[in-house]
Amino acid sequence: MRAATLTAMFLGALAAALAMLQAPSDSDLFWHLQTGEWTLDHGQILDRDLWSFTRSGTPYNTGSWLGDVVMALAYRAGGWVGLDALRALLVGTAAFFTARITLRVQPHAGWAAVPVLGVILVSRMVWGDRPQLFTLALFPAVLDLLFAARLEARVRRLAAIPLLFVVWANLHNAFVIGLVAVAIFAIDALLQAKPPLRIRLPLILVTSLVATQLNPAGAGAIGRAAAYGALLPGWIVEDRPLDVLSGAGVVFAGLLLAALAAAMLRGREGIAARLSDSAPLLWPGLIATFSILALAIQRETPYACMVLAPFVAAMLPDALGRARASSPFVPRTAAIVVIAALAAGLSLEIVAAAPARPDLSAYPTGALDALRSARGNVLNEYDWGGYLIRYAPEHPTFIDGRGEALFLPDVLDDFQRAVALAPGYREVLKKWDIAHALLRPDRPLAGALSEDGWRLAASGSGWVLLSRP
Amino acid sequence: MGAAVAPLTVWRVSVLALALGAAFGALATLQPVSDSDLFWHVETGRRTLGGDLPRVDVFSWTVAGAPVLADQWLGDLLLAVARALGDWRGILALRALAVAALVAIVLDAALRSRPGRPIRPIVAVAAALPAIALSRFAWTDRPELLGLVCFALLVRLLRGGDRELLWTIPLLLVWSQLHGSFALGLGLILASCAARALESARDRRRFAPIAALAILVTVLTPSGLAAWTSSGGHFLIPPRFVAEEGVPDARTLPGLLFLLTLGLVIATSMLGRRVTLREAALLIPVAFVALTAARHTPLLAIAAAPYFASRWPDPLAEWRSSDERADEPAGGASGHPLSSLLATRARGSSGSVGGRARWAQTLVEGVPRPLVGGLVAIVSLFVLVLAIGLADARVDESGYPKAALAALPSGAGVLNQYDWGGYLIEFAPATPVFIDGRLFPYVPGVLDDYRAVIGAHPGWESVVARRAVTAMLVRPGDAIAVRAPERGWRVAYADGIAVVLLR
Repeated sequence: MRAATLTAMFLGALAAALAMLQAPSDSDLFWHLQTGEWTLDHGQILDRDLWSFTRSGTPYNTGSWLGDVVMALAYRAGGWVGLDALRALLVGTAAFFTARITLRVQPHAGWAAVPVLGVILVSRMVWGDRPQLFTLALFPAVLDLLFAARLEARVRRLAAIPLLFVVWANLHNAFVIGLVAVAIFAIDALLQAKPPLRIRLPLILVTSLVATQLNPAGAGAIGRAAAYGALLPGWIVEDRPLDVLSGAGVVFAGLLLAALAAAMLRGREGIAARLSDSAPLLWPGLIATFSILALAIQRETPYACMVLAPFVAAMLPDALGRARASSPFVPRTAAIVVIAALAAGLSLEIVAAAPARPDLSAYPTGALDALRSARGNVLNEYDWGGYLIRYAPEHPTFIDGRGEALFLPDVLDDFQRAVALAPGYREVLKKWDIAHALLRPDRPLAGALSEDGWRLAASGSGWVLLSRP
Repeated sequence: MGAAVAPLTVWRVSVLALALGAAFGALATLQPVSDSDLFWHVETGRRTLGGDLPRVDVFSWTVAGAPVLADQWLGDLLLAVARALGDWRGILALRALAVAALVAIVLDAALRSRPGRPIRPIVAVAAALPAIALSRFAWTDRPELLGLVCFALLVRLLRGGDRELLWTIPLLLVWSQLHGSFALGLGLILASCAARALESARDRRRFAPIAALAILVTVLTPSGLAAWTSSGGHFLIPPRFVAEEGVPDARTLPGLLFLLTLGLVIATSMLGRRVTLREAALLIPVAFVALTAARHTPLLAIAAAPYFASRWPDPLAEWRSSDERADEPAGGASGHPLSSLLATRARGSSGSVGGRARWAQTLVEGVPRPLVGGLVAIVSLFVLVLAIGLADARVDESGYPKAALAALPSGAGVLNQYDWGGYLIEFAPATPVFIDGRLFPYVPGVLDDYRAVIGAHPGWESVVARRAVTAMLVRPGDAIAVRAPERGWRVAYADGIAVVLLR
């Protein structure tokens, strides 16, 4: 076995081990889990709202029914630890394929490991237990197949890509970024490659496009993703532009500037000599597209870093005048021992260290008792909607994480107007007959309702439950 | 082919930069005077002009008497002089001149980016367009615009030789009196010195005194070392709640333009010839700074203009030569049909490339060169003066609480909208402000209190009591404008722009 493959496995296992230590806590996890459970229980895809009082019965589609089902199956199989294991598997897969792509162009383990570790760090921003984890794993998997075909002429493996898209389009709505990557490779092949790639890659793009239609929304899935991209919903933190002075932003900026510096110092000829003699348009196409995407929508940053990592790993040492390395072979016995050790370590971690309970410290757990005895509609914080769907099902939510699929624009507008005390906030409370407000204490509405005589039914660290007098 | 084009001289091309600079300077006068920060800059400059450089706050009642930075004293002074000479039209004239200088310097740097090689005016103009388009959002009446001019000049100088490097020192000395962006200039000079030392085969130490001198001149300001406070704050910890200090946002036009510019930089770096370490030492730090905040985005476009202009002709020439090869009878069968068609059309519509060169030569060489230059300079100046003279030089108060001023009490105790602080300093001097665009004197205490009240956050009434706020001048959409009347505050005035609330 090549040392590069073993290195990729090690980095994948390392990422998986890190991911497994994180307790489930994502606010959207709970409604995804409930959706998956409902789908398994009823044998049909959930296509109408069951959990809010503002949109009750309204048809909607989040584009992730299969992702929800897989998460529910993992939970049924192993409880919260099952979800820990699923997260570790998907994060590990993402790190493995990112490392494999990087090691294709930079066999030196040291030079390859640094940017890959950067990708792993940045990818932490999407380690929440949601179907987006499937995109995290599938994007580098597809990218790896594309690079293998373009740089190493392994064309036959391309046939797997449309099959992956059939699954991906049902797992998570962000499959479109995979299509973007395939389109860039297809354009590059049309302009620069020789047959059979010049024909095969555009064909794979068309086939993949057709494959993504095989989902409950059909062509609507791509339309929804396009509309999402056009709207760039800035009201969700993870959809806002990337701040390069944040933790993930610093790593991204470091990779981007390293790539720019290496590209400037080596130029087109240097890049062609080191990386892609026959594909000069490929790297600028990938790096410019995904970097711009990351800067526009911060949750896309890991994918930009996955594209940047191989370029930086190969070109930075080249710009510094380092000699090219080659990947040695590792004796089969030694490789088996290492792989077995990695598998044993991860298994041990599942048993001994994977969190068996969710981390609910960010949620109003202390409000549940008061809510059970309360009657009437609850105006809840956006981030707590999913939690309430699972833990306080007797109270339908005002709003929750199904934001752009279900609550845009009027319910979200009403929510924002009410909590910020914008003109007309009283009309919102009246319109939805709000009897209780479960809010963060620093919300202007929380202060105003207290001043207006609403009763403090319960309170805790980071939350208050106010009831209408 | 590119080589067939007779190279235009640098002298004539500079005239082109001058003419385009004047044109954009004239366009800049179409924008009314309205920047909120202008007013406190002018007032500060007016006091400096009178021999009283403000070192303590004199405009607010919340930090009255507290030390304030005088790091932009020269920029403020220039604004005050412009106002004194021509009222608000003087401010317009200063803006027009600054924009003209900025565009001319950027374009000139782009035109001179290929020493010893044919100059491509059209490519240079295209390369300068992102800088012109992005800087358009900074064509405001603040010292910041003068800082951009200094930055463009620095880029031009740092691309030159050792003699040009020496000229950066006096530039930095002036810049550090004008605006806090000098810190980036110092960083770039130090990076350039380091890169030159690494590239230089002998006597590498000669750059050390230049670097030391650069550091020294930045502390030769009335604020001394404290001038770094403002620069460091803006570059390293930008106050994100101020719109222009937010991250570049693709949902806005400037954000979109910036991302496109960044995409061009990435593509050019990967498709163009390699650059020297010195050039990379200029572009990479600027790229990072531009990524940090929306107000810094023009910097990348300005620094990249000569880079674009020096690299874009190569693929264009390659494309042209491939067209011509495709059109040759021997190679016609193997050429791309679309390229051949385009090449044929190009010749059919405008003659050969050589024909275009002859056209340019005839146009320029038919007249003595100094006469052409003089004529262009006179026409440019005339256009600029005409535009300044014809411009509407009144302050655009449509976004300000003009009508509400009559209901505003004088003296301390008024809490005002952050964006209106500068306006009140100019138009309601009897009412000292709670807060204004100077920001740093108000951080953190006053700013935190302001945000608590303006957002009607829990506890706002205790802040009002502690600060002894007796009146508020806010927007109708502010939470406090909704909440305060519910808590017994009297609405003394209200329109679509502003609400005056009295306790």
